[in-house]
Amino acid sequence: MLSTRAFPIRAAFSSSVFIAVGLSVITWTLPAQAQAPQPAPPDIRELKALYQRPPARPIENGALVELGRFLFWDSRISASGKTACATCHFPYLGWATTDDRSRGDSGRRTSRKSQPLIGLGHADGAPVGWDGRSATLEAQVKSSISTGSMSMHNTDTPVKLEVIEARIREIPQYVEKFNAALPNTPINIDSIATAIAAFERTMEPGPAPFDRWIAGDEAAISESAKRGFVLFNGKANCEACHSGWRFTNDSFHDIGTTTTDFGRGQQLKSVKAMQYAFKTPTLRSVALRPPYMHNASEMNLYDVVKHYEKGGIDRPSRSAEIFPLQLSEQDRLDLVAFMQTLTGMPEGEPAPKLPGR
Amino acid sequence: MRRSVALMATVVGVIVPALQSAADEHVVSNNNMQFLVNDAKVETLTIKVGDQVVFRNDDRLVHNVYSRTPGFEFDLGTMRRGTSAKHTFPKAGSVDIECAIHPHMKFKIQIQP
Repeated sequence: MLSTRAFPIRAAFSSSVFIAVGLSVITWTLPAQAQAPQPAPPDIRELKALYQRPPARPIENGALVELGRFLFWDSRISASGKTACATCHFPYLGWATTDDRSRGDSGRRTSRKSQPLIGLGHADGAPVGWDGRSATLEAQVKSSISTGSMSMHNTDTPVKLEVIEARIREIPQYVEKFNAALPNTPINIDSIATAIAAFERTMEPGPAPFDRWIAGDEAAISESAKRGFVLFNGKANCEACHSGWRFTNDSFHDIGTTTTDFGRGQQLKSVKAMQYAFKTPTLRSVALRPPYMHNASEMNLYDVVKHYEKGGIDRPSRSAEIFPLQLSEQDRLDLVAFMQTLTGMPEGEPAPKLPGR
Repeated sequence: MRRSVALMATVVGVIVPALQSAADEHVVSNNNMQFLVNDAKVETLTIKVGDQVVFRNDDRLVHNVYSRTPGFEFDLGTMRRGTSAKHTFPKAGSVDIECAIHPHMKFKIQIQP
């Protein structure tokens, strides 16, 4: 993708025809600026300043986070008693997976690859999930347990939510932990979701070689990776969506991958740009978790670069940030080398010993 | 004299009320992934029925402006840098405005009768 900051907008465009939907809508476009003058390419120091990572998110309720950690790892909160959050979100893969699809609690394959949870505590209220169907992490947890991948909702042997809640209430160690974390609060799906979301917000990316480079250690990453960083922020326009220290601005785009999954368009049927659109995932520790994209359609990072080079499926909903690129083989390798510097070391944690087990 | 009186009556009776009820135009810009009015982040913009709002993308990123508030739904499509689009709000109410691409970009328009 091409950065408007570093390079001219590639194609001049005429006035677009915008679609007006609904009642009494009167819209029209004003003439577009065909080739607006672009600022000069930024200094590398200015670029690096945009990637300074903030301190870890402060923990307000340590007991709640601890409770959430146990519940995250505990398969007893699923309908079958066999599926935990950690079943699809592995700690040493950026709290994600290398499976192209996960197998849900009902035994069926999920429709999309599990998203990484790493760094979500810094997402600042962005909708959660590939299609943004959940407004909060808490809502996502509740949805997953009650009707999603941890439920047997659509099988012949569904398990009522009350049964799952009762399982947790019957474990004295959990009752103790709930009382400490959320005094005078019933143990139910709401308090379970509150605890798990609190834990998920603590999943900080581990320090990566890239971070050491940003902090001033010139030997922390290779020259190839440094060139990749410049490409990432320039000619390749990756930073239009993967910006900032988390390498995502939590935006939604049709990047031209799928023809069957409407993604965000399922939530926003009347918004043209959201058809086939998916949430931009973080690139922190991205090298650890191939295959890539929501549908696992790219086997490795090199293939991902090739996808963006081609520009994906050209259609009305395709993001205007995406268009065919002119990359050399060295450019492709440099971009991959750069992404490989984002792997946190150390990162993740071992499974805890669960209450009542 | 009669012509002067008639002219005055025209001015007072037709032109002045027309001016008083003329719709206003408001400008909301996008920059740094925020909706701005007069360069300040806007939470709520208050307008009158029939006013137009110009949405102008001054950001380096592509944006979108839409609303899914029942009865006020619209979608201005993809807005590239340097482009604008207008929307008229023909009835009173409270409308949530968002950028579909960057959902954290949102504000409210209060339309007064």
